[in-house]
Amino acid sequence: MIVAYNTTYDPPAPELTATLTGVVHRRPQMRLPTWIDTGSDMTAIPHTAVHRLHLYAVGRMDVEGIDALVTTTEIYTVHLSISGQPAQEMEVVSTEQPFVILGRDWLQAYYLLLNGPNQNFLLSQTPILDEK
Amino acid sequence: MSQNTIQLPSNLYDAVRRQAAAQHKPPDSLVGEWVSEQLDIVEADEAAAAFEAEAAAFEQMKPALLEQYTGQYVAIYQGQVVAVGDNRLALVKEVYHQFGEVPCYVDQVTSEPPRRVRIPSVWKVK
Repeated sequence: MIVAYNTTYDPPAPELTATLTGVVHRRPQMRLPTWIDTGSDMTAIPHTAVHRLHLYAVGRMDVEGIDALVTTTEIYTVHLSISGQPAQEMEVVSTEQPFVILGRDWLQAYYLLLNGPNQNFLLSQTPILDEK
Repeated sequence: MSQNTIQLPSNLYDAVRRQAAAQHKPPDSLVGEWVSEQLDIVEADEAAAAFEAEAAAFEQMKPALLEQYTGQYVAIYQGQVVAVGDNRLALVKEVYHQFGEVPCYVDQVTSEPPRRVRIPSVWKVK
């Protein structure tokens, strides 16, 4: 699918919308802006979603942030769906950011072509370019 | 919605009425919102305490777990191993299906340091 960059950012950014629910119950749910982040090992959700979706911590993990400091943080499990793509159940951590950070754990199943000049991107589970 | 009666001291009820008027809401709605928020907080606190207890049980049992389950994931609920498997997500779902959505602790049984991930685009994880 081809998605237009969100031009409210400077510079414009490839952004999606994710719907989050718990892994057992599909209500309540939250729709959140979602940034594609090839630098992140793992997907992260806003901490507000942990409260709204009544998620329970299920484990712990060490996370290194932008300041290179390591923080031990809780792991949650969510059902994450992006419009037009198969939903995935995932382990995530939470951050203070108001958006989802879609890390390489989600991106492993996708081909992604950023088209900066046209301010859009192509996301697909089948090859986009000739791989030869 | 069922009709129930809760008695409040008159000074408290007056304060609720003033707040409700200021927020253009019926007093019943405002009290309902406040009670709901407080119950969410209490439930979250109880879940966090239960999670800490399960994590502590895992650490306490770890020497014995290493002898039996090295390399595997175990789910701890009410201080006991209730499920064993190859990945955390499957075990969490197994616990939820068996016991309902309850606080539990799921981790890999290993003597290695915990997994470290990088999310360099954030200042702070919660």
